[in-house]
Amino acid sequence: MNRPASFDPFLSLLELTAQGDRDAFACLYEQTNHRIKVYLYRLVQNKDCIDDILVETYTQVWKNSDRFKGRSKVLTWMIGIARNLALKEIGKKKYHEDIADHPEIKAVAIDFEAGNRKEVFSRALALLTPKHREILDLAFYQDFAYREIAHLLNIPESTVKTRIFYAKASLKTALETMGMNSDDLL
Amino acid sequence: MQKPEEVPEAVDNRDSLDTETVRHILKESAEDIRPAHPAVFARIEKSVEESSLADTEQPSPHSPSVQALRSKLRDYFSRPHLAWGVVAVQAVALCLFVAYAPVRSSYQTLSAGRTDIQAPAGPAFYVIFHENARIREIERLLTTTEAVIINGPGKRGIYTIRFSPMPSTTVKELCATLKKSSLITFIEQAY
Repeated sequence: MNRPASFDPFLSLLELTAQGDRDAFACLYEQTNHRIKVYLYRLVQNKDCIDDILVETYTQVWKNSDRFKGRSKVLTWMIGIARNLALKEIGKKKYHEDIADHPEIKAVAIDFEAGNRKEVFSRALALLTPKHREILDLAFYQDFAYREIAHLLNIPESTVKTRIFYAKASLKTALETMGMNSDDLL
Repeated sequence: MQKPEEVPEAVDNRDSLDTETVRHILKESAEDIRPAHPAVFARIEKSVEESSLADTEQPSPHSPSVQALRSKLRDYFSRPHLAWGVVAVQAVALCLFVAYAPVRSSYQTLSAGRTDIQAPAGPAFYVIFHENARIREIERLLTTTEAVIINGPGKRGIYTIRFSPMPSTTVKELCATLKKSSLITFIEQAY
């Protein structure tokens, strides 16, 4: 998981954006908007406000592109901007809600023969806390290194590992509660 | 940086999903989330256009040199080690101030240095004055009996007063007289 620093595919696009290149900015948007949208959806779980946050995120990226110092990868930096805006939207209290306080996972009967696996996965993820959804997305969908995640979330790397462990356990519980076992997953 | 969350003593992978399974779940569920609608980028372009126009129409009220200084300060404080350095310097300055600032070495009450209050070395009494008694009335009573308040009021409104030296019989008479006074609700000799 902890990989050495590698080539940043979006750096040149951001540098051109910082020089006022609208085409580079459009290209950066094309290549990143889906990943940021997925991240936002997993964090906020409210489709209504995601587009607004996206608009504000890319506006901030345009305005602050010349301030990017290269201390993280471009996508990590952009997700950091999106995260700050999303947290304003959902409120920190809700985000920091502890797993113990989270509503009990509800059993939902799923017919796997006719049912949609994607929907089951989405429902299972929706049962997790925002904190757990976020860490799973960053680690296993965005494929960020622990160090990057720690920097982004402002937590120690050890906390990243622990949180991932608990998030995976919660996801397994959620899937099992919905009647899905390990054999159904792959 | 937040403090680390508690690490489980024994990490049992049977309670968790393997990495590839989680990747698979996240990838599959992300396929249900469509890329942003083209209208979103149109809104972004509009927002960018408006912010660019605002920047050109409203020149900064600060001169370039002030802007450069602000930029340097912003960069300076965005580096955590430098920001902590500033905090450390402030802490040292505060410690030096506390260590060398002229501070009175002893605690004194406001009346400690007064020489005009001379309590007579006679018998002392605990007294509670009536709640409706006026200061002038109390002062008059104290003057006529040659008494001085030497302490109080305490938690329950108790004062300690001291009289001029006098024989014990006179003290008893004086105490009896004061007990009858409408200004006093309680009086007992202090030993």
